[in-house]
Amino acid sequence: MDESQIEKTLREILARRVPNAPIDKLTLDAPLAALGIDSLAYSWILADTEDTFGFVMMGSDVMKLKTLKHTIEYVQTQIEKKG
Amino acid sequence: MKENADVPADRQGRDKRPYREPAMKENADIPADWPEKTTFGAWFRAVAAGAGDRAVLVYRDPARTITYRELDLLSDAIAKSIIAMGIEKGTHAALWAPNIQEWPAILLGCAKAGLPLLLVNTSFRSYDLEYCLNLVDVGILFLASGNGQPGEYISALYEACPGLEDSQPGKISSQKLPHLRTAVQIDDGNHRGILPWTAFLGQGEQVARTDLQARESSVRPEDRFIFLFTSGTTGWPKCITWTHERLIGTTFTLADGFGLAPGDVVCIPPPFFHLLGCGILLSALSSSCTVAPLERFNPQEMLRTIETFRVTHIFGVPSMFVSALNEYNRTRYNTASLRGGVVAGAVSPPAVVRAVMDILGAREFGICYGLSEVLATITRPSDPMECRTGSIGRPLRDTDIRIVHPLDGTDVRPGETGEILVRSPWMISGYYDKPDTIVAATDDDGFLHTGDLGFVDGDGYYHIAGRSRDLIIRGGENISPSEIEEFLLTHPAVMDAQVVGIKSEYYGEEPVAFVRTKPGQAVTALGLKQFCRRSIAIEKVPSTFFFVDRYPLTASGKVQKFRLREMAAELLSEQKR
Repeated sequence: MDESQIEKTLREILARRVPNAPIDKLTLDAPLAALGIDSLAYSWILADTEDTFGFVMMGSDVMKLKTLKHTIEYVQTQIEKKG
Repeated sequence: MKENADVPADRQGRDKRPYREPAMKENADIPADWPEKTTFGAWFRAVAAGAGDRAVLVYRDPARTITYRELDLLSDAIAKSIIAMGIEKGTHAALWAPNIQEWPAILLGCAKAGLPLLLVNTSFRSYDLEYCLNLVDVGILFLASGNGQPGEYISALYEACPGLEDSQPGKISSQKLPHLRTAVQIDDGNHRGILPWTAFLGQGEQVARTDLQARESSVRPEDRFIFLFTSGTTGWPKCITWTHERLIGTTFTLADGFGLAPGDVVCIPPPFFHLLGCGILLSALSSSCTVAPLERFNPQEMLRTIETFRVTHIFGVPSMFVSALNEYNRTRYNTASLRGGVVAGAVSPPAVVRAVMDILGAREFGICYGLSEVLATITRPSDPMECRTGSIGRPLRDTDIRIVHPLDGTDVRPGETGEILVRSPWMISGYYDKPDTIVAATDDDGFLHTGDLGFVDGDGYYHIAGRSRDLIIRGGENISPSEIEEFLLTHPAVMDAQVVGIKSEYYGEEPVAFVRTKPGQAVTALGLKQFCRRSIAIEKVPSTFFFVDRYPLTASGKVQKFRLREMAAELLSEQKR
């Protein structure tokens, strides 16, 4: 899966789990915290990411997902590890 | 289970004998200066008469602000509707909603109508919901549409209660939830079998004021009022019960410890269903404060709420303050109004407490320690700074603490670590489903054995030194490993499961599972996570699963959980490489 496909999928997950946030206007480097994601929504974002890309994440991996760009890189690394 | 062959059990093997109130001895004298014995309904009526048109709940949507007088009237309307529907005093109710304005109104409405109320965890899914509604034999459920995801609670209820769709509201008949008759959706919706909020409130319009007064006066201070679940260390979470008078006692004790005064503005990020959120809410009401709740915690919303409403007191678990401080560095909301509040629910690093004082400006901020069963200590603004950040303070009023040797029960010397024992007149009334347990955990002098380890220093300040049990605290939420282990056994491929907590940079701790699969069966870690997510609260879902052939055992054959924690840490660091 290439970077643009991962980005598109992640935007869909964010739009679903943070319904009122302007995800289409979210830049790659903007902090995800600015979207006002609550702790429960974070848990479900991790769950959707796992289900979509087929790997398992630790709860503390939230700390690595500071921006959309960080999240794309994280997903790419996990997919590569999975082989 | 041979010895219990004659004890009726449900399909999960839980004891379903009829409830009996535990034979509790009075564990301490009620203080002489305490307010007269009363019920929550009568208590709030007096509070509302004094506070009148002061805002009691404020939200960023101004339409949702409500005054003390309006909250009193709304809770009257709820109690009248309960009467109009023929729901008898003593019928068990349940409330499943985030921190919305109707939450305290339903609590007070049930208090006035004499309905003991179960506070349902907002993260619960169908499996947990069915368990807790059945355990407490709930007859009427008030539920929001969801908690962030509209419709999620409705779907979970339909799953837990087959037959609901074909039932008339008020006449639910379901084999899985045999006691449930009525489900009321708090935010109006149109779902088969569920009564919408306005239709529910409409029922009580014809009920006379005298009928409500008669019902209220039949409620006694010693009647059970609140059920809530605490995650025990053995088996499923225990259901705690509070009577009106004991919960009022706890409320006043907390208000005294927090130093709240009329006109203070209190921000409550923790969920109301949790004893921390509920205790802060009720103590704020008892002091005629204005409450600014967060429907669900998020750090930006917490800071924005502080700025918008000029919040004076802020409360939460350590992970909430860690996230809020990170967010503050980025956003710089104005928190100059902050003065006090406490962190509770888990051990907080001293640096976090200090940062809330210095960076957010809450100079009187402190630490409170307690269990769901009984509250214990608090730090006070007059304490020396190192004690306000590095200890859990001194006992709350009317509370006694002992530190004893875990084996022989004798008092240890200051500085020596032992088990923390707590005694208060406002301890819970008992456990609903395990009436003997609280008695077993309380000694002849009325002290509750907490299972927490700690010590007292030479100046009388208490310190936590760890937990002697296997409880996992994820972001302030207590999780019982054995509850998850039991659930995992319902998966067809799982032969055996062990759950332990590991350190987490974000949550403090998070659960992971070690699983042995049945011969010839295979399942993936992701498959098991998905299986869990469908049925149990998401915070209970293990973050990852390790598959093993055997567990490390003690000489007597018990699983060495400390060794599993070490193994998990090793395996995770290998995965990172």
